[in-house]
Amino acid sequence: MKKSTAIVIISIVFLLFAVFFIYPVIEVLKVAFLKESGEMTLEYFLGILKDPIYLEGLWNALQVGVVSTIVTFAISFPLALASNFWNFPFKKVLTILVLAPLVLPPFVGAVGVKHIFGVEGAFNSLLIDFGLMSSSSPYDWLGEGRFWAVVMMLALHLYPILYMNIVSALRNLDPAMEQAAQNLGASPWSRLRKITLPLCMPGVFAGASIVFIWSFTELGVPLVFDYSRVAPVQIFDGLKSLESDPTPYAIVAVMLVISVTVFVVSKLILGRSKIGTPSRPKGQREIKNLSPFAGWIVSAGFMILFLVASIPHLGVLFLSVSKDWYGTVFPESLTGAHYADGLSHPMVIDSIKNSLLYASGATLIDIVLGCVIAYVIVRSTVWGRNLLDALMMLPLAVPGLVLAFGYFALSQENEPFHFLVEPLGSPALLLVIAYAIRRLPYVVRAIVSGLEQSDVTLEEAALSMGAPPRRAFHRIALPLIGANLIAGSILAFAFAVLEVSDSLILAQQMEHYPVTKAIYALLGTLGSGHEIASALGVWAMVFLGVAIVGAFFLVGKRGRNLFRL
Amino acid sequence: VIGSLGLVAFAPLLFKAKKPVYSRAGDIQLNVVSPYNEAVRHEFAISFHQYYREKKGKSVSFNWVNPSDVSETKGLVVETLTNGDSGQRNDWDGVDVLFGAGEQEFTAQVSDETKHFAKLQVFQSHKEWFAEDVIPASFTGERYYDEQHQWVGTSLVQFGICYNTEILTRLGMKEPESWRALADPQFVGKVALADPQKSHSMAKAFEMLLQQSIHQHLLSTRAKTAETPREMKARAIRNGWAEGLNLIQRISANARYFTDRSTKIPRDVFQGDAAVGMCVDFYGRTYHEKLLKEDGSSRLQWIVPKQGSSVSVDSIAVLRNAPEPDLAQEFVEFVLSERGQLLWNARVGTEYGPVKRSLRKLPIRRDMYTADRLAHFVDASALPYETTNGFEYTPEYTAVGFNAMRMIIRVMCIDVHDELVAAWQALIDADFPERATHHFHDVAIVSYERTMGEISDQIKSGKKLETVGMRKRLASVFRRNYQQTIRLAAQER
Repeated sequence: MKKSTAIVIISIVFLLFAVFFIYPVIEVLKVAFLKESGEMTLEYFLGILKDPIYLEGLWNALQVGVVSTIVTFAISFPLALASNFWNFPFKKVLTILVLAPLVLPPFVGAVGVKHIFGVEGAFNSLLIDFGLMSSSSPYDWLGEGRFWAVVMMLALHLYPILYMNIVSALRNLDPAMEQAAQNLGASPWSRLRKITLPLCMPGVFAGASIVFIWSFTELGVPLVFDYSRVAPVQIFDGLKSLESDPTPYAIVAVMLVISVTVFVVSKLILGRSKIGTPSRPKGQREIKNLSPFAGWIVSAGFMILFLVASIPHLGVLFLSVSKDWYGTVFPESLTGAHYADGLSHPMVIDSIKNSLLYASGATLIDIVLGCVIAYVIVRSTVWGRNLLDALMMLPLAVPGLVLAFGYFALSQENEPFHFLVEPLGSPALLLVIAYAIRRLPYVVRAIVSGLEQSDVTLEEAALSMGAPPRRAFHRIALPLIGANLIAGSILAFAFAVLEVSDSLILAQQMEHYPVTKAIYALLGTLGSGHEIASALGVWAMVFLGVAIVGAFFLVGKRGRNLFRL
Repeated sequence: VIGSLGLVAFAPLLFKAKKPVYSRAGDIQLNVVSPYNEAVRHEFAISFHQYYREKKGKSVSFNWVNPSDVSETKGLVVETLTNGDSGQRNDWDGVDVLFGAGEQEFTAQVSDETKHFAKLQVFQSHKEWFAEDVIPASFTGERYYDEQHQWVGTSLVQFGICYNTEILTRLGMKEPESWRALADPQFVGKVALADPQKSHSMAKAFEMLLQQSIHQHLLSTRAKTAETPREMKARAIRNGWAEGLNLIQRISANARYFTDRSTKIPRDVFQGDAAVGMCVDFYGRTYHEKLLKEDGSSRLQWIVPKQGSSVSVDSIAVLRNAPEPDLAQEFVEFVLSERGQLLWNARVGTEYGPVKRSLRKLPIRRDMYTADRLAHFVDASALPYETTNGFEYTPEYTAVGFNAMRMIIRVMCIDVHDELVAAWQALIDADFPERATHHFHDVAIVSYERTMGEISDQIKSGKKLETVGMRKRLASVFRRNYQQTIRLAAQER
């Protein structure tokens, strides 16, 4: 890549990022570092580290982050290996089914989970029916095990991110490397340990860093499960209590420092494969046909995971058709009334239109920006590209709420971002930009890991044959990273539709509500609020489900299978 | 693929109902800030739309705005990020009517130097409505309209206890009759509470609990030798306050959480995750009805605690700079008219009753509770002016320290909730040993005098950083107390 082009791209991206990310965040963070008199101070920041309650909140958030990432890895790595190396019954269907968690915002899923694992929920009823629990003292799973409830909810929601990343990493491995190891007598275990795992580390890193930062800064799930001593909830509570208290802003600053540190350190340790960049696969990997018994075991593993991961979805589904669901495994009586009430609501149709508009706009911006940014990061040697790389992860490190508050403040009258709201009289542009910035890391990560694993010599060959750089990118690099690009875009789109914080804060009037805010508003409805909100949640699941399966279908038809289905 | 996506995306259109008349463009628009839910908004908009058309031949459209979108979010964010320049805020620009908050929020606006509200014309046009037997100036110690006629109550609100009868049976417990019942150690992790910092009605309930305790001490305290009546009264108030705080500590120690969504409370109670909760009357009644079985039983019940709850009001006001001042005044008049009042509790389908769902709130006008009208009421037995349960709110005891009380509950119960629960559990396990229990209940640092004096002054001073500093210091004291309680309980066990 030409240095001058790289510099121009870097400058534009830096500028965009400075205006739409750094500026709003600084606007919020400055509260943490400025005294009332306007002097700089570290007092509040250091104060957090001295306060046992906030320190415990941070420690708990860190534990949630670390444990969720470990559990997520434990789920997704074997899954990715199995789908990459083996054939087993119903593989095509099962490998799509395990992506199910992507279709439901965790805060809606948590509502379903509460009905299943509640004291009088379906799970306890099942145990009581089987005589495994006394009906006089049902266990309070969510009350007693809040930490684990949060961790499991997050792990089960987030494992597809890591799974998709590892699968694309594995797909790009050259089977020759493993074959060589096998020829030299390496056992499957040591091949996995010494060849496969190190080579797919960039993919693991890409996914794991997203999972960690997501769970570290997650607000919705701990809030629904009433796990209050955790930093994001403390921030939320602090921001909502009507005091000009710099404490929540200072916690944001501390979290930002932790997130960035974890990102940089883990990138240094994990991000680079220890045995160098692998060459592009030259041959098609031979996929092993398992014995029928082993095959069915693997299929059963996938199926069990799918079922466990679908607990929130099932909860939401049952709730959406239940009249009363209390103390029984399944709802006592069913009704379609909640769909009629929910979907006929004037707010709902508008919210669907809005979400589609906001999310597709954001995804489009992300694809364009993601491609150029990733290309500069991987293919150029220009100064600042590593900084750019780290910068791209920052939107994940900043809790959505903070960015949302920054945007909100800056879009008020006489503030610099007001021009984004004024012409349309709606927050559409603001939300598209907010979603785009927040979801950019997925696209950038996905494309960067694709480019890192695709062989640069192919592009160099094209360039040396006289192809202009743009054409080389378009004809060579882009097709090579197609799967990564689509995976990244699906994630960006799905997560944009499911975005919560920006949606809650920036969409003020009912006609501008996106789906998540509509669900949130319906949840608060007196009477059947949860059931009606679940009906809309089910719609969102079906829609995103069709979108994801559809994307697979489109990619598959052109012969470029995503994730080796 | 695109086709099926389109199909799913447009499927909800099948269910799409016609937009209600009031949300279509009308001849004139009313902008209302209201915390009320969809049902209340729908019924009042439809009914007023019809009323206005009959009266003036014009159609009104409604723009409902959530207060959180105006005051909480906007106020907070703008205030924090624009150097605390709250005096110049134009939060209320473009708003005609504020419909449905408690008296205290309105009082705060009126006493504010910016004076947001216009005088209500209804006090002139319908003087007869403001007689003692229609809308009294005050009741159970609560004010029902502003002396300067800037706001007026529209419906009655009472705070009480909702409980799940099936869970109580399982726990082998009696149905609660007073606030005190919520402090029973058997309710550990089973009480649903809202955060009084965020829920005004919850804060109000805690205030009533404190008032009740003060009242009881005033009745039972006897003069010591050489004590003047004044000193005796001060002592009674002081002790009543401390004991009330202790009760709040124990109830909070049983709390499963302090939520910021008050609808969550009756929901978690009827769903069985909590056994009891504190919530307002119409939440309790709504869910009671939702769960009503054919035999007339419902697992969710709601009661007014004995001598523990005043009857306050949800109010209405017109903004000084309302874009449509005449329409806004007309709306106030409508809400207080018989037609508007009956909307609160008449059955669906009756004359002046709601069209879709009964609202389960009680009208403020006393003259609505007549036998012929009550026949159409959903809650005909909830006669708020008859059954007050003997509680009289006395503002001079606690009103000055209302915000201080909110902060005290935060530092004593919410910020240190984990420690509070652990200490409470340690006491239960050790069967309430004396020293440890005494330590647990030590609220000297937030005594009545300090609360009404320096703590209130600090909050009112507007020096927010200092207030935050004080809050943290107080929280650390309670944290230490609870940790010490755990140690002592272990020793004494």
